[in-house]
Amino acid sequence: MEVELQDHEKGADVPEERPPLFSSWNTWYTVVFLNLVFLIVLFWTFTRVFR
Amino acid sequence: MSALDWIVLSSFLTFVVVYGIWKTRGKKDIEDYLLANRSTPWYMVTLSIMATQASAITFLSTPGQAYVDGMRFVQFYLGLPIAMIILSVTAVPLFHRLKVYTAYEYLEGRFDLKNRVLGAALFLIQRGLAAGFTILAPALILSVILGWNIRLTIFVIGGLVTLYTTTGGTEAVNKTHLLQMLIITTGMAAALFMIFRLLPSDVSMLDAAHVAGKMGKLNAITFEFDWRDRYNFWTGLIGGTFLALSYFGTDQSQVQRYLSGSSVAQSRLGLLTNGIVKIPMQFFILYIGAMIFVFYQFVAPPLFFNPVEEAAVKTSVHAAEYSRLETEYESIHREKQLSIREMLSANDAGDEAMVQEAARSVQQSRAEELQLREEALALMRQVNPAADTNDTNYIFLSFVVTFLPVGLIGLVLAAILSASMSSTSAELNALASTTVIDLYKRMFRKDASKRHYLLVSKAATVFWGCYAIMFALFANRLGSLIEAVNILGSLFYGTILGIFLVAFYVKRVGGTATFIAAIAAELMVIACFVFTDIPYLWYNVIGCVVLVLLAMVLEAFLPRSRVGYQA
Repeated sequence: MEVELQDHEKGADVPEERPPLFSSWNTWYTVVFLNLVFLIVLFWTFTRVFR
Repeated sequence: MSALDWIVLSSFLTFVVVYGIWKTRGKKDIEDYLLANRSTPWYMVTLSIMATQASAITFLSTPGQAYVDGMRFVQFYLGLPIAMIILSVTAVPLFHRLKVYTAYEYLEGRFDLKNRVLGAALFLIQRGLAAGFTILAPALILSVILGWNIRLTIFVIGGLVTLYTTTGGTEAVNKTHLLQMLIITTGMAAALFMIFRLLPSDVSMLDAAHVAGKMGKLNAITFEFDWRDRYNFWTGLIGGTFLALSYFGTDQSQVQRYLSGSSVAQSRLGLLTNGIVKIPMQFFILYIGAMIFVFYQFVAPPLFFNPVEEAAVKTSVHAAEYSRLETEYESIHREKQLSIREMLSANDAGDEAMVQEAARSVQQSRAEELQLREEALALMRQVNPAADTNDTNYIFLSFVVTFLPVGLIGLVLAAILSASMSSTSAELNALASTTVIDLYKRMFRKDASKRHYLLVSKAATVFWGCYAIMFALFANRLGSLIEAVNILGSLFYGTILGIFLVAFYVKRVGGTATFIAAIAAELMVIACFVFTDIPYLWYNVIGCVVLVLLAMVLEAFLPRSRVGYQA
């Protein structure tokens, strides 16, 4: 995901580092999102099993 | 409290404070002091973010929340991972690129000085009060349950935090957060382990979960939408995302944690890891509360968990009536316990009809118990109309000091005080940064030496430490603390988030339109709080949406403001 920069947002150059474990940050974002989905499903199951 | 508990408690606290001061001595300039020289690795960023958010209130009030209302409070955190992703894409690279010290610095570049000052002022008002809450909460509860002197407790907690935060700055905050999270995790895990050990030998962990579930305490997810319901899937996902975006993206106490990351990648990873582990952590704390509820189905709980209020009614003219209520309460509790055992036996035998019948009987007894409690609360109000009749915050600590073994009580208390100190230190650190960078350096002394700003930063930390201590000394009754803090935040976060959203995404809107819209949005949120019963998580949405829409409308009628980053 790239964000278009405006003039007031162009500060010092920051080197883009590769993320650890995965090849891109988009994969990291997907992992965090899927973890949320997993937790929602888990909690929903938990609620139904023990109600 | 025994001598061993005192030794455990004081050893932990002394070690944390001495470690914080020793490891971070000799700070030379303001970047080192306020941003730890931007050298913090990702795991320290994660721990620091978590320790900042998880105050003593989290550990004292959250289990009580589950005891009273079930685990549905976990839905409050559902928006957090989404906010972590959005901030990792937008705010983290932007703040790193601009090399800002505070989030509000960016607002001057994007808009103008008045928006920067407004953002900083809203933060200082809200977070200054919250810092007082953070110190007061554990002091109040410890004074009631253990009889500690509340003023002395406030001075000790506030004084120790101010000492190491002033000495070591951000690095001291981050380094002590590591130790504090270790103590907190150990203390809470030990508490859950002991709850399972204290359950009757014929009640397994699975049985305990069945009892909690049948009594409505394991209601972690509710998909039914109800506008007036504080915690369901939709308020958590929508309201929670707005709240988390505002808290992590615009509250300097959190922004400062990831600004100290050594690179964009380290800051991002710190935030994203928080997005993965925060919800399970809250689930775990709520589960402790649900299990304490189950424990009290087999051991009769007090009619009311606040011993001070209970003592007041027991020494009044209503003492005999209160005693009668207690006797009835114990009798109903015994009947309920029999029904629970029948329910468990039927569950083991796989007899679903019998399970349902026993569950209905349990619910009936529970309703009678709650009715008796209402009568007891009415008596308390007759004795003292100003009595605090909300005992949610006292449930966990009351259980700890009554049932946990010697030594472990000291460990859990160390965890609670560590949590209080970890949040307060980050708050003082951020309040000092905003005061110095956004107000003092920007408006009063632009070109002083690095040493001068370092000294002013330390003086600001001491000032905010004293302010928080003074607020804690003069405030007293707070209701459910975890809710009080979140309501306070929600009164301001929508507006602050709206300012930043316009700054990031609505490029054609200028400073004056945003400023006027921010004032109007804040007034509207306060009106919602005073005149309506809209659940507080929606304040974040209302403040933000009103601000963004109004700013866009106003922009059409106002001359264009100056744009251009000048930090």
